[in-house]
Amino acid sequence: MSEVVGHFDRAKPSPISMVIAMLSSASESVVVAGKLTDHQASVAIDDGLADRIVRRVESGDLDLVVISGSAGDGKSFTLGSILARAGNPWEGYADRVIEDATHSERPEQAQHDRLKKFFEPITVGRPPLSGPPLVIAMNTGMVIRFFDELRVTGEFEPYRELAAGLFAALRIPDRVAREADPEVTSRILVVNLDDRPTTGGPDSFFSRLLEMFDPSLDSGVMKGAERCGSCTVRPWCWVRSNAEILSASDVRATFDGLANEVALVRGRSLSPRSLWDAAAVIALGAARFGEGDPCDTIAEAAARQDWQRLWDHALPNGIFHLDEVPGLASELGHRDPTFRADKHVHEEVAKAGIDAAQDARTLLAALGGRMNTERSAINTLASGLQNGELGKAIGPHSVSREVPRALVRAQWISGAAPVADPVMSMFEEALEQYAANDGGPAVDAIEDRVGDALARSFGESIGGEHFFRTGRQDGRDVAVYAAVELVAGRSYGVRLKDPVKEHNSEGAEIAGYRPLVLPLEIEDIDVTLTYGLFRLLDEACDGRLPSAAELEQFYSLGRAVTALGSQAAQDQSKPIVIADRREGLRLIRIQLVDRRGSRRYRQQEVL
Amino acid sequence: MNIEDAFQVISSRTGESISYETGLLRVAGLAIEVPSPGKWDDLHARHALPYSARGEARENLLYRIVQDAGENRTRMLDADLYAKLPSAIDAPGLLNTEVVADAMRREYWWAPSSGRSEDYQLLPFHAELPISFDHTSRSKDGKNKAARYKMFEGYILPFLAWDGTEPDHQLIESILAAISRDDKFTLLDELFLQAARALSDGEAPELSASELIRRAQRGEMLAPLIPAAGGPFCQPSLDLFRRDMRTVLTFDLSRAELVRAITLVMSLHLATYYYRFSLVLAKEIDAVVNAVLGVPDADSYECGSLSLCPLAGSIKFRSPSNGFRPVSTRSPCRQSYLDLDRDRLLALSANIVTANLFERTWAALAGEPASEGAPRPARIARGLSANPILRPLFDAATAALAVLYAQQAGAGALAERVAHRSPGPFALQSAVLQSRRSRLKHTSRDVVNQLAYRPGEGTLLRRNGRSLYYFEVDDDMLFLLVKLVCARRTIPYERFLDGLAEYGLAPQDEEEIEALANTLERVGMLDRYSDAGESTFVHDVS
Repeated sequence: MSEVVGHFDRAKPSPISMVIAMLSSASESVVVAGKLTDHQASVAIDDGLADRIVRRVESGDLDLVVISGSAGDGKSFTLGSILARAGNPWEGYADRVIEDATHSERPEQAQHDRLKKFFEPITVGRPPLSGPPLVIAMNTGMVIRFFDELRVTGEFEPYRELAAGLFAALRIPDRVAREADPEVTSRILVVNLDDRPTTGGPDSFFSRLLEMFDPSLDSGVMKGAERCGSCTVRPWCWVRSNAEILSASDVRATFDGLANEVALVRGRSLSPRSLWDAAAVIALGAARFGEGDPCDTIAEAAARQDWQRLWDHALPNGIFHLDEVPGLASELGHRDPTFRADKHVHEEVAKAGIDAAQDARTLLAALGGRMNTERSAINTLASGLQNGELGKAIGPHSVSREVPRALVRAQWISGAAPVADPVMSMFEEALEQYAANDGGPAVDAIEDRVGDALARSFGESIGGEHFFRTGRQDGRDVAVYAAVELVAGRSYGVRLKDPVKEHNSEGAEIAGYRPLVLPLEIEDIDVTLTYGLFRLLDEACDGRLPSAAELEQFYSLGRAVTALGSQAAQDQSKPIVIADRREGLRLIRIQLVDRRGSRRYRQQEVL
Repeated sequence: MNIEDAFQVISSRTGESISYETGLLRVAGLAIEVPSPGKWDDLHARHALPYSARGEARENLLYRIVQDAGENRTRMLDADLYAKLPSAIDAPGLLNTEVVADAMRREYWWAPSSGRSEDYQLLPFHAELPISFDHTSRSKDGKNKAARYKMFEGYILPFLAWDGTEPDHQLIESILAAISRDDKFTLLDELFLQAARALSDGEAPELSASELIRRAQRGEMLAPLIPAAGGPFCQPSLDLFRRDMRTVLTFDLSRAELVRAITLVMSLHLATYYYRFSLVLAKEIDAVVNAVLGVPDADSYECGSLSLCPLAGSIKFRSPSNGFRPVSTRSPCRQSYLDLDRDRLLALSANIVTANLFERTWAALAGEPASEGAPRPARIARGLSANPILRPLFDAATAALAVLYAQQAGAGALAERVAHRSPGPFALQSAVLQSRRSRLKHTSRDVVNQLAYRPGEGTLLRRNGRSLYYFEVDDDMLFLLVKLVCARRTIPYERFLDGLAEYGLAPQDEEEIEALANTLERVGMLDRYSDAGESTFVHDVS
C-alpha cells in the first residue's frame, strides 16, 4: 500500500523531477558513447534515421560512415541505437567503430593517435576494405581539429583525400575541400545531423517531443505521472498543467512554429538537446526548483495561496514573462507575439484587463480543461482572475499591464488566434519551393525583394535601372555608380543548386535535410540569406535603417554589392552614374557608345 | 654646479676617476670620444628602422615606392592635374566635363581631414601616376612645389621585404606588376588615365624591383640587415610581412581595392613594427640598467619568434564598434594604448639616442667595434652581466655622458640633477628624454598615428573626444586580419587568436574574446560546430 505523506504519494516518483531530468544541465542530458540512460531511452524519439543509415550500409560500397553534427545533435544516440540492434553490420567488428570521438572537446594525443589508427585502413594506397565500413560519431569541430593537427605534425598527406571528402561533405570552407575526388567521396557517407530538420510541421521532432509531455502517457516524460493521482495540490501545479497544455496538438503546433522561426533566424536546425531543454523549461514555467522533492515547491505554493508564483509560471507567462530564462527557451520567449506590430494583437490587448469575468472566460476558453482535474492550474488562475484574488496578489499595475498580454498569449498558444507574419510566410514558401525544385515563384519574389533592398541600401535606382557603388564612397558628395543588371541567376541570385545537396546529396537525404536558408550569390560572393537577414532587407525596402549589430550583417552584403558594382564598372559598355549631392541630388548618366567604330559618350542628366 | 663638480659627485658614487678635455671623456683612464656639437642626437637604428621617419599620410607609402622603382623624369604637380582635369578630359560627346572631373577628384585623390582641396594628394591608382606627377606642397610665398617626403621613401619596401640575406626581389616585382597592370579599368578610370597622359606626355613607365633595391643599397639602407652586420632587428616580423604581402596579391580585388589593401598591409606592419621596436628597445635599455646594478633582469624574454616577443598580445583591442561606444580610462584597450604609446613609443627617439650613446661607451670600455647607428643594448646588457669589472666603469661613463648631454643641450640646471641620478645608464636615458621632450612625438607617435588611425578605412586606433585614444579595430582591419591569418584555411578560433598575437594583437579581455567571435560569426567568418568554445573555427570569405 502506498504511503501518502502530506499532499501526495511520496513512494511514487515525482513527475516534476522527470521533467527536470530533461534539462540540459541535468546529468542525463549528454549521451556518452551510445549508452542511453533508462529515462532517455524511454523517451527517445525514433525518426527512422538509424534505419536509413543501416539500410544504406547494407547496400554496400562504403568505406566510411561519419555521423557528424554539433553538440547535442544526437550523434552518439543515433550510433548507439544502431549498435544496440541485434544483427547490426558491425557485430564482430568492434575495431571499426568509434562511438565517442564526439565527446572530447579537444583531441589529446591519445585521442589523436586513436583517430589516426582508426582512419588508417582508408588512407591513400591502402587495399580496399572488406566487411562493414568504418563508422564514427564525430562532431564537425573534431573533424577540423583532427586534420588540422595532422597538418601541424606533417602527417596530413596520406589523409588528404579523406579530409577533402569530409570537408566537402560537411561544407567546411577549407581550400582542401576543393580537391574532393568524387570516387573517394562516393565511398564516404556523411550524415550531418546539423542538416536534420527538427522543427516545422506536425511530424517534426519538436512536435513529437512536446507530445511526450502528456502526463498520462506511460512512455512519456512523466511516465504516466502516477503520483498525480493521489495529489491534493494539483490545482496549484503549474508544471502538470503546462505539460498537459503543451502536449495538445494545436499548442504543439504553436510552439513548434515558434521554434522553427528561431531555426530560420539562425539559419540552422535546433539541436535535439536544446529542444529537450527548452521544452522542459517551458513545462516548468521557467521556475527553478531547489534540492529535495520538487513537488514540495508546489505544495508550498498551494499552502501559501501563492498567486504570484502560479501567475509567473503558468504557460501563458513563464518563458515570455520572466527574466533569466535559460537557453533556447529564452530565445523563444523573446519572440513574444504580443509585442508584434499586429492590428489583431493590439485590439485584443486593448479589450483585455477591463472585465475580470470576461478575462477569466477568455483564459478558460483558450487553455482551460474539459474537466476540473484537467489543466487545473489554469482553472485556479481563472477563478483567481474572476474573484480578484490574483489581482490583489500581483497588484493593479501588473493587472493592467500583464493580464492583457497573458490573455492574448493564451489565445495564440491555443492556436485560436494565430499572429500573421507575411514576411515569414513568404520566406517559408520560398524555402519549400527551393527544397522541391531549387526554385519557384516565391523564390523569384524573394530575389526581387532582395534586389530592391540592395539597390535602396547601396545604390540608386533610375527608371528601372539599378546603379551600385563601385568602391567605398562613404560620405562622398560626388560619387560614381555603375549600372548593374539585377537579373536573378546572372548578377546575383539564389544559387541554382542547394550547396548541401550538391556536396552531400546522399547524406542530406538520409538526414532528411530541408533548407532553412537561401544561399545567395552576389558576384561570386556567397551570402547566406537567413530569415533574419531577409527581414532586415525587407525592412530596408521600406526605408528602415539597420541598427549597429545589424550593420555587421550588412557589412558582408555591402562588400558583395560593391564587388557587383566594381565588376559591372569594368564593362565599359555599361552606363555609369555620377551622383552629385553638393546642392541637392543630381544624377548624371554617362554611357560609351560605339557607332561604326567611332567612340562617343552620351551624357544625360537624369535627375 | 659646474661639470667638474658634477663629475666629482659621480666619481664619489662609482669610485671611478672622470675627466673631460675637449672632445674626450676619460673614465678610469679609458678614453671615450664625445660627439661633436650638434651630433649628439644620433636617431639612427638602421637595423630596425631605415630612417627616422616623420608622420605623413599612409597613402603616400606606395606612391613613393613606385616613384623610386621607376626612372627619374621631370614630373608635373598633381595640383596641376587636379586643376586642369576638366579641360584634359578628351571624350567626344561629354558636355559637362566639370562634374566628371569632380567625380575623378573624389576617386583618385586622397582627402585629408583638413578637407582643403590644396592638401589633396593623388593616389597611386596606377603606376603611371606617381611616375608622372609629384605631390604638391605650398611654399611660404603661396607657390606650388613638389612635396618633400617626410615618412618613408621607396626603400621601405626592400627593407620590409628582407628575406634574411637580401630583399625578396620576386615579391617586390609582383607588387610593382600589380600596380602597373592595364586591366580592370572602369570607364572613369580610362578617362582619367587618358587625361593624365594627355597632360604629362608621359610614356608608360617601366618599374623595376632591381632599381628600387639598388637605390636602397645606394642609400646604405640595407647594409645593417646583412647577417655579418648583425641582421635586422626582427627577422620574424619581416617574414610575416612577406607572407602577408604574398597573400594580399592573391586577392581578387578591383584596382582601387588592391592598392588600398597593399597600403593597409604595409601600414599594419609598420605600425605594429614601431610598437614592437619601441617596446623591445625600452626593455633592452632597462636590461642595461639592471645589468649595471648587478640585479637579474626580471623582465627578460626569449627573442626568436613573434609569439615569444614581449609585444605578443600587448595591443589589447576592442572589436569594431559601429557607432559610438564609450570607453573607460581603465579599459585594457586604453591602458595598453598608454603602456605602448605614452610609456614606450613616445620615448622611441630618446631611447635610440640613448642606445647609440651606450654603444659608443661600450665600444670604448670593452674594446669592441662600435655599433652606433644600429644599437643593440641587449648585447651590452649581456656583456655587463658577464663582466662585473666593467659595470662601475660603464655606470660612471654613462653618468658623465648624461651630464655632458644636458650641458650641450643647454640645460645646465638639469646637468646638476642628472649628476645625482643613478645608475649612469638611467641618468643618460632621462637626460636625453628630458631635453628631447618637446620633439619626441615627431618621429614616433606621429608616424604610428598616421599609419594606424584611420577609422572606417582600416584602423587599429580609435579616439573618443580629442585625445582619448585606444586600440580598436574596424571592420576593414578585422576583415584583412582574418584573410591574412587564415590564408584560405579554416583554423580553430584560438589559433586565430594566436595568429593575431604575432602582430601584437589580442582582444582586450574574456568578454571581448566572445564579442570578437560573435562579430566574426555575424559577418560569416566564424562557424561554431559545437557548443564548446574549442569547436569554433575562423575562415575568410571571398
